[in-house]
Amino acid sequence: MLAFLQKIGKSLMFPIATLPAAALLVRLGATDMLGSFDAEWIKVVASIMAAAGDAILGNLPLIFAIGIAMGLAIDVSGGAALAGAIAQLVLVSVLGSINDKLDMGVFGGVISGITAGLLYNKFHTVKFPEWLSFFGGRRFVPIITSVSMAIIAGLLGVVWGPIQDGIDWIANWIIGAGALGVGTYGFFNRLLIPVGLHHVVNTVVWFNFGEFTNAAGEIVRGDISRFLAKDPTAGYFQAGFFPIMMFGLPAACLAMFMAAKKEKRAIVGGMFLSIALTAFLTGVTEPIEFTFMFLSPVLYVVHAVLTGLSLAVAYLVGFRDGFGFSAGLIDYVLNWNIASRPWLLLPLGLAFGAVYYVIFYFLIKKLDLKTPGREDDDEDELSTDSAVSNDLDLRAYKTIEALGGQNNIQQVDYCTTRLRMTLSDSEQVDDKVLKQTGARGVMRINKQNVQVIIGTSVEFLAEAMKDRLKKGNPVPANADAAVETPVAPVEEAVISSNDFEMPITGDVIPLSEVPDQAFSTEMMGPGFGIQPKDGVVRAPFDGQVVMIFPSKHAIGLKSDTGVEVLIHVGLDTVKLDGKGFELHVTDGQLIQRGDALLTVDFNAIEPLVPSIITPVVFTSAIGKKVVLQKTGFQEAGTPNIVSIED
Amino acid sequence: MKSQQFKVVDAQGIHARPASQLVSNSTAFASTIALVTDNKEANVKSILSVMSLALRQGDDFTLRVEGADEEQAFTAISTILVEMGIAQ
Repeated sequence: MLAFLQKIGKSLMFPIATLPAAALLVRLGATDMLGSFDAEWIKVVASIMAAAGDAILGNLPLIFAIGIAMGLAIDVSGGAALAGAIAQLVLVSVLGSINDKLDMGVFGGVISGITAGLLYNKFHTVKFPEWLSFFGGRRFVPIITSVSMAIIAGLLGVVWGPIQDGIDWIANWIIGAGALGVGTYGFFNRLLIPVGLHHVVNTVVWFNFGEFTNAAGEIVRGDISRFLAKDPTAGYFQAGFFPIMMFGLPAACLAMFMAAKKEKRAIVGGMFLSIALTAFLTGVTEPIEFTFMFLSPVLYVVHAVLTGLSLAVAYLVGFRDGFGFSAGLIDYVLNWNIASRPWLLLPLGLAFGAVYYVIFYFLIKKLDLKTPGREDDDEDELSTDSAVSNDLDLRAYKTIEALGGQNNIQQVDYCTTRLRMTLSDSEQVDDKVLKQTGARGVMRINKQNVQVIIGTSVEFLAEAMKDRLKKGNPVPANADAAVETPVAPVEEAVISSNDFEMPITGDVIPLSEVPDQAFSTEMMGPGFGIQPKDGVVRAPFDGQVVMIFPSKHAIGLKSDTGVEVLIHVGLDTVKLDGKGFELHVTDGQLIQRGDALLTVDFNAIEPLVPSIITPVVFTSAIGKKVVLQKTGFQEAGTPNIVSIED
Repeated sequence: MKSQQFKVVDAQGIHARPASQLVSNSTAFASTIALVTDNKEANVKSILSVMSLALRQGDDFTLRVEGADEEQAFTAISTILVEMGIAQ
């Protein structure tokens, strides 16, 4: 459960990043700041700023729903994000249709996000019969989410009404209960933020409680309105927020920063500084609160208790202050003249700052709470202890997924240039994704065996994959990044003797003994000749067919490592025009060593041509030497026949 | 860029022997040298590439040379094509 809450907390970091900027926009654009200027153009700019910031702060439930759905989805998919947005929209509409006073606030967004994220993980691979397949997989997720959410929202609509009424009753009791009431209010005001019910308390206390007739004879209601209208008895439900928002929460940020792992401090430091500054200046504290609310609910309860305490203390010492926006420096300065004993903020603030710092630091360390910068980062450990680069790790992750995921993989093997995979079902392999991650080709041998052509770097990829499979192939932090397809370094085309096998059973002879000058003088490149004893021409290496002459007597192959070979069956055989040759492959086909390429009826063609001696020429190695390692009779498939030397 | 159209006259088409002639005479040049047909393009510096065009007697193709030494390369390759009786 705690791990789940942590995941939600982590998912929220993404949307929370936008909040400080939004808060500043709203605060600076408010009617008592830039909006108070007389110049028309400044007013326009101010209202634009306020509207832009409001768009974010006013839509937090939706933004959170999207962020959480995406964060919970196993592959951080945009499909989950869409489902999250749909869930939240459905929830709001359904609640509104039941009772238009129902407002679940951010809590609704969290429920929507969780629902969508979990449904995504369950259904994103669902398969339907052909005629329905358009609606399968990821597309099914928003559909099932909207239906599920309609049902959940219906239930919440029924349950939420009474809860909201209960809170309303508490709020009305608070009003007449003095310091205890003020303190209880502070406690509930914070405690109810995660479930969105703080608005209910606030509405009663800030906008309905009490009446005051101002100098102009108008009646104003509520603690905030009365305070701003200079009612000397209003402001007790606000003053205690100043020490918390301007000192307590920023001190909590400092504590979280100090408790973060040393190597993570630089990363989280910037974030903590900006959200602390936002709270201090504007009194917008959600960025801080959501940072630890889900990661460590204990801290949040502590925070709610301390807020209640602060309000009660402020009431008792006669610190009376208020805000039109929130309890930050800006409102503090603006309302200096209508507050009572505003200077008390400094001692109160410093005291609460110290209390927050000590309690937060102590609890985080003692309970090992996973506040930002303290997470067990399994991805990080993975990349350090196996010394795998991030790019390679990401590629390994994506390769595993494209091969049908961990469950589909039985065994990972590799040769010089290829992954040789044993899978449960080779149908599940996604060639397109593999090619996007840099594979040069995919070759299905049968239902279980698939080869993925990677190149000479295959060893590193295969080891990275094995490493990941041991750990359950966790989603890496950068899973949504594209794999940088390595710009194939112009590696020199080479092939080791061991990777080149005899293509035809027969006698190996030096190329110089091939009775055709085009070959014997190495005009086409170095190589060797075969006096064939069998009619099947087999692939000498793992590679690809790059050329088939229409008369089928000559076939060009390119190894995965870039070495080109021409196997020219017999001499002057071009004039047979294909008679006596049976082809088993097509142009461009991927091949592995030993594959039958061509069957030749040597008995039939021998009388018709000058020679059936078959030159095998390394056309890409002109200028190099081919040294025979073996001569005389060799079975097809024998390695170490020749070596290529400079 | 220099280019010119040719027609294959060699009775056996552009096969191993003529291909190797073209290749061995083109590798010294820095320019990109290509034989272009309606649906394929071959790098003249690779024997397999040239052979993969499978040009037969009577087929049309375009010799296209592009690069710093394109003048010399074009002259050299077109001379070989014509003088060896491969194409004209």
